[in-house]
Amino acid sequence: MLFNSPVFLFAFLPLATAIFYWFGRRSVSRALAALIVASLLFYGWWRPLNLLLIAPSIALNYAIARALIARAEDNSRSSKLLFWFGIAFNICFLAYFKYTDFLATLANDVAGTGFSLQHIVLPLGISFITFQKIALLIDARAGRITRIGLRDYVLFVLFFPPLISGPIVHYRELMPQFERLDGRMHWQDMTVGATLFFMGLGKKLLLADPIALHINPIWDMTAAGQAPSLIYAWSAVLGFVVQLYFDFSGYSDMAIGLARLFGIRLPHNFNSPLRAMSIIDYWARWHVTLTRFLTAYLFSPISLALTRARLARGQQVVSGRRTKLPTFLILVAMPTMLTMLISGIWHGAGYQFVLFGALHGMALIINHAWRTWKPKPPKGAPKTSPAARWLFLSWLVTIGFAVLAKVFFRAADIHSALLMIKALIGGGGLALPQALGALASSVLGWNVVASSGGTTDFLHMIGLVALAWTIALVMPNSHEMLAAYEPALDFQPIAGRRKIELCWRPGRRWAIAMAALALLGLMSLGQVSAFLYWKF
Amino acid sequence: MAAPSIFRRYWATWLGAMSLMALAVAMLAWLADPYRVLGTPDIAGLNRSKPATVERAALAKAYLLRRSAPGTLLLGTSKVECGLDPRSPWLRQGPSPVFNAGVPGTDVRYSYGVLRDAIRVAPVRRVLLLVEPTELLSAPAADEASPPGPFLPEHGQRARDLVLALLSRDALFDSVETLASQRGRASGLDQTGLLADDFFTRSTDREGFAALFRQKLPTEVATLDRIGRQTRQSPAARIAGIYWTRRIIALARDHDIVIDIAIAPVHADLLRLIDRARLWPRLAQGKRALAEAVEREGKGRVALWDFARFDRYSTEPLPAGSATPMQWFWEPNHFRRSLGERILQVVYGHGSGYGELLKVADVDRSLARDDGARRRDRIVNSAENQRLSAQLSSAGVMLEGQVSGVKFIPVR
Repeated sequence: MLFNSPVFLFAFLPLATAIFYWFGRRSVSRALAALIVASLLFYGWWRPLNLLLIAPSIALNYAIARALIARAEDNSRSSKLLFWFGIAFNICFLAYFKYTDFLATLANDVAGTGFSLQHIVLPLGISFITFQKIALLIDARAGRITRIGLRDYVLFVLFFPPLISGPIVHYRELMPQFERLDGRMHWQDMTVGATLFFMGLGKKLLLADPIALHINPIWDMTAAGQAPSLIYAWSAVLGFVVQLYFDFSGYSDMAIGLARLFGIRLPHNFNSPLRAMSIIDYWARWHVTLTRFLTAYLFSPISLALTRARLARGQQVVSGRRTKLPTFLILVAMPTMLTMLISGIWHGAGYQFVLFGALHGMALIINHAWRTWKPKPPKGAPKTSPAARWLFLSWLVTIGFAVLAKVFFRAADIHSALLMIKALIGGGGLALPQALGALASSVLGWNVVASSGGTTDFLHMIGLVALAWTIALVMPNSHEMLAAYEPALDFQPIAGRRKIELCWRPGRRWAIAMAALALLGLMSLGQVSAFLYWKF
Repeated sequence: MAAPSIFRRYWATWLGAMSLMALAVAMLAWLADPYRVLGTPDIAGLNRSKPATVERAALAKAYLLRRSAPGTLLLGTSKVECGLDPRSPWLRQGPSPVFNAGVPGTDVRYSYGVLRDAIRVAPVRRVLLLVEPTELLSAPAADEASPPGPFLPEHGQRARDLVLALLSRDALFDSVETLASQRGRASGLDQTGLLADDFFTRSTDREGFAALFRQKLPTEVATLDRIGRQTRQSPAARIAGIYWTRRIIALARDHDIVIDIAIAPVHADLLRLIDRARLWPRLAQGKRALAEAVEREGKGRVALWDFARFDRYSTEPLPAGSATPMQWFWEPNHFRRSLGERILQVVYGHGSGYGELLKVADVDRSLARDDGARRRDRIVNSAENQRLSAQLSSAGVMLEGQVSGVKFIPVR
């Protein structure tokens, strides 16, 4: 069920909320049971088979988690085996559904085998659900979870707001909140939740989807092997970056808002990433819970294990500016690249996603190297903020790189990604709609070919992309607007002066503004489109 | 934490504002009725011109047809929509009202669906069906016999259409556009389903007819390219438009509906392109097959007219200046209402001097005359042929070589 579908908005959500609070007035336990039933309905709506696919995995993970908790202090071989079996099972489960065809393609391309592709249908949200289950096993093994019941486990895995595309939430973040619920409806939770939900709906339906309508044909054209002309190529690439941002951050806002309707705070997932000043900063703001997961469960354990091994051998570890290059390469570069490659493959089963991960891995390594060895200001020099032009340059390099890397994320394959990059440097020539082309030729003397699209559509596309970028760069984000009411866990507004201050308050003006936004959002439900991250 | 009463007041304001704004939007949409779904009366200067119906012709026509309950239906594609005027004097004799049910981008199969549904809600007694020449070139689709989907919306769909026509973002924007576009020439579909000339004059006034012809050329080349590849792969393939034309005739016969069929006229530029794409014999084969099908299914009572020929109308030369209008055509694929009048005159007014009545008995002679006209055109209209060659060259179409499978014949 899509958050932006009429059946969800006008039937499922009102009913689920009403039943939850109706039961909640009598017994929190029953309310939670009703929430599980609602979540099962939500998950199985599109394809009931999904429930049958996911159920054995839930049961097995629950059994392993319980066994690991019972052996919390036990470091025996059998305990380790059980833990690694659980991890391997989850990875294989994900790999079977998501990577069978990719591995077959890889084998066919590299070894010349003749495996046929299976085209297995992906159970909804499997990538996110698997990560949550893996995180729970690691936490159980590390003793960070001390007890677990079947109802709690099912609720943790199936709680419908973050079920399909996150935010990726930890058991230890979610379950204490469920335990604290009193079953009564709190006006503040309902108001903040609904406000965030409609902000997310607006991002998706009023910004992301209209942009997609304009730029998708350009990407389709590239996939068909035709290079778009310069301005169309830049519009497609810049449009996609901002479309993805508003689509996924809109989805995250909706998920966080929905959870808040039930009195639960989820971790935030986006914090104005397009304003990032470095690629490290970018990943600290974009898909925050994925970055957090990969850092905590992949990068840090690898880096820590390598550091311990080097310490045991008496070798150098990372030590600020004195770090030597080999040390940096082993302890920082290698874990970073490995983490980002896995992140790339997690996003999609295709060579272009591997390249997307590798590009970001390289950028992060360069960024870490710069942080480690960047020139120090002379001693005694006054500590001042960097000049505006340096800040702008940092932003430009960061976002310029992020934009180019997103070409590989969006393109159908590496060939069309390279074609799009060629178009970005003018390989597809310069074409404009007839009227604009004639104007450019006569006023600027450009040699412009007439494109097949109309002038109005073209200007609409440019205007929309420009508007969306302006909102992303200048406006406070939804969590900043609602900061006074703690919309999400661990959210910290980015320090520094903002161009526009907009703080939501439960007053008349905001009520009217949010009613207008909600109405526009609801009026845009005519053509329901899936969220971009649902396919992951 | 703020007091619950503050949030309750917030929600009361939110709901009140939402309801008022929704009501205002619905009233605006009702007043403008941008898609002709709601049936708001046309008021000159307020809502008569409906630019948004251009993009939603099928939706608008489904509701217009139900409301107008026509006695005569004009069936076909965009050619019918912009070229055949239901208010024509040649249509006054006969079942009324007349409704233009031409829907852009469709085919004979779709027209069958329109007629099938129209019979359920209207006393249809007379039909004129215009068949696209390209349908006589193409091979049928793999799912040729699968019936078309419903044209008229059922109850669930009608409720959905009503909500979307009153309370959707598109309806809001299109309502504003409708109300703001009442000055100047009318645009969009009128109550009879006819498309206003404004659809073309916006381009021809600015850039001239020659520019419009030039712009349409790549699309026509691409269409013929696709068909050419298709026929090269299976030269003996059947003709796409035949099966559903027969079904339409049968449907009309079963409901005592008088039906006339015509192969729609196109400008000679398109006929020349068909010729150069080596598809002329295929077109002749299509016309012959259609004539046979019409005679067999219509039992000699259905007339078939061929207007897709080289004649004094289709060979109308392109004007040199951008300010000079053409008399019979907007662009290669769409004829003007003036030519539509000639078609209606021939079909219903028993006029002559235009088109040919195709009958199986003398189809060979008719096609031979058609072929003779094609040959003569190469000589008589050499200037026009040279112009087309130049346009093809500038559009990047090679004259001598292969164009994705179609070998275009050069004209020397």
